[in-house]
Amino acid sequence: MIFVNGVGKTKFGVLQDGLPELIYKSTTECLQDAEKELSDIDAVFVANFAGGPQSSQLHLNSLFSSVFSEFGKCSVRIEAACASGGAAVNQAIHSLHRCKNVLVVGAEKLSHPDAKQTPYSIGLAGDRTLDQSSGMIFPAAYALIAQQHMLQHGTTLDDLALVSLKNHENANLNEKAHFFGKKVSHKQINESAVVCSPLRLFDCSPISDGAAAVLLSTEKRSRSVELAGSAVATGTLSFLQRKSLTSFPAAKKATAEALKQSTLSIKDIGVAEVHDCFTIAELIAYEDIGLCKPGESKELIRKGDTKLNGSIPVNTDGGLKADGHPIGASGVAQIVEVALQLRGEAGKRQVSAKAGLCHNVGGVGGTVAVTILKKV
Amino acid sequence: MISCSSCTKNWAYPFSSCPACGGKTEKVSGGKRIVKGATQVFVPSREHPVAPYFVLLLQDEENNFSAVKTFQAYKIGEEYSAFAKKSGVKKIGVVGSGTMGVGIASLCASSGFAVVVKSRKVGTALQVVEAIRKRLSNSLDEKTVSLLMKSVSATEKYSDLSSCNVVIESVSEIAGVKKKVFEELDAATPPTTVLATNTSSLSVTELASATKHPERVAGMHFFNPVSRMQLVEVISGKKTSKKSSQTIFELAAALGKTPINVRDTPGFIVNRLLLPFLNDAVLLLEQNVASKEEIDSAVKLGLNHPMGPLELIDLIGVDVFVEIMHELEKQTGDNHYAPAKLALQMIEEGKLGRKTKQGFYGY
Repeated sequence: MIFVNGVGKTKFGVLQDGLPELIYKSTTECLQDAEKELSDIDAVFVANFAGGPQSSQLHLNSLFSSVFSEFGKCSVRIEAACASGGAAVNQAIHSLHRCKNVLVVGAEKLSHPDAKQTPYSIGLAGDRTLDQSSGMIFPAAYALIAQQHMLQHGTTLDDLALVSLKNHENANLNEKAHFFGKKVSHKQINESAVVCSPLRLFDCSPISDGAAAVLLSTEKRSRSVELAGSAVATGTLSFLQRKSLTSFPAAKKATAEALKQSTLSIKDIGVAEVHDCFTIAELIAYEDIGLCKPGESKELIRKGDTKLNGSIPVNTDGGLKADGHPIGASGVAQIVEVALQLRGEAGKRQVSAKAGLCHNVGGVGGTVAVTILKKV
Repeated sequence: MISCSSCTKNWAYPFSSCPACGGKTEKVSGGKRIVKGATQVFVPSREHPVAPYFVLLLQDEENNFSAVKTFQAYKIGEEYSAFAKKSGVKKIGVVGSGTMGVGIASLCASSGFAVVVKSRKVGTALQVVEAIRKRLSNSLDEKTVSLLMKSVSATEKYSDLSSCNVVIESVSEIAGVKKKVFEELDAATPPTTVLATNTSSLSVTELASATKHPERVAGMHFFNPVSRMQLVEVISGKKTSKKSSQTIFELAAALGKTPINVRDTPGFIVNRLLLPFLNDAVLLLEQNVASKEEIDSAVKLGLNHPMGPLELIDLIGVDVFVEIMHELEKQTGDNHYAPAKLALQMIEEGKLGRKTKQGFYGY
């Protein structure tokens, strides 16, 4: 069996810290939480997407050993766009055949003094030839997806707004969230500027810096949470090559595989962290992971089923939309949140759950990593 | 989508040769493309700096999806035409065989309009047509190029422009020469044909006065190079009708440009602001405020301009620069716009910039 024995997370937001500081802080907190020393770590997986274009720094696995100069064992960087975190955890699990304790740290420095740099960097996760060259920047791709979902299933702008509202409400209970302390109203969401029709500013996750770390181990300890399932599935870079525009086949595949490994069904999942890079992505996630049938996600959000006090709370930390989306860190942060929930350490946002699911998507469904955690 | 002519494999990316067998690849057409979705993008990005624009989600008759960028609004369910003729204009005449004339004619041809190129000698006009074919071949496949070129013709006669909806004049920047062209165009075309001038510094109202129908004359000012510069200044002279300026505005959009309406004033917007700035840079050099490299660097670093002012004058041509300054001075009556003495001296010495391999800098 594999366990999550330590978690750590920095504040998400527009921060002064660069990659070295973010890696240091999240790792240190995680080690303290696990009551372990750096010397106990057998290998490190660094999840990061845009270190190159944003900070002119690659070779981040080595950066880890610059920040922690006492560490010189195996470390590698894993990149799968926004699914880097979930994918890194997936790969780290394989290393536990030879190792006892493995650290996964996801870090991202997405804010940049040149306002045009970040959108460019983020665009590197999309298909250059088919999408980006036709002006289909990320928000435009998800805008087209949202439009199709609305045309095919009657989903409305208000349904999208409800997702945003819920996540912002949750973020106000999470001191580390990007939008902690910021009250957001339905009116504000409706009046926010259109980014790519029909998506407005409040339908889009922010540009955040941050890092999160988890310690995976074969050793069971008192506050362990079981890592019961982990799967990665891939799809085409561009949705133009697919048949369905309102569902990510890779998400369905990864969910099925992860649930199978955990011997659970979706009905056993009591809390979920899904990839709401845009509000529509959360609704599609409900359908892809099997919380509801295709097209029926609007019922869930309208009934409030996925709110903190609902039957299946989703994105209790505020999700990507309100907790923040430091790309390489987001997938790891999802696992941190579910682990805290299962341990009963989620404070004001505590829900009751025996198992949780993390759904981490790269690009427009090019990579999906699903991780399932169980109370021990 | 492309297909390999040897092993018949299909590929989503436009490989120049088949990765599987090395065979020649060609574009596969799935027939008519219908608009399934459309989003208006309000965020400019590094590679798409002009917003808003639309991204259309298209589906062809074989259910393949594709995406295309356009400045035209389409409704869901409409058929997408790569060669939009939404302006109501079908045939465009282009008078002039210089860089701008060729650029404008190529743009019209690649946007699917029928084009008639008119020059003083038919041989020159034919050279322009050949240049158009070469340019189109850089970005379009053989089949498409032959199809488009079927509607491109050359002539030395004004009368061959009579069936054009719009004629764009792009001859020498000399009032007398342009006025003669407008006189001829006025006589050769019905009053419903809109006559547009690509002048960068002359008064549209004055050029229009050479015709009996000034209401159908407008300015359509392109920038160099036509293929890359987004802006078209659409100039309304004193007597230009709303219909005429609207036609030119919509035509510019149909050509993929961003049109901006401007009242007929000396230098319109861009040249009126840019040229005096460039002139002042020459004055700084005259006054030994700094060296030419230092002046250019300071502007690049301090103002974020991609090129320094003196480098830019060398690119435009010192003679063209001085001509436009003279025109600005004449039209405004303000001797503040007198071209810098150093520039006049450089013309006398034959240092016109890049075209003579020596300007402020050597080339």
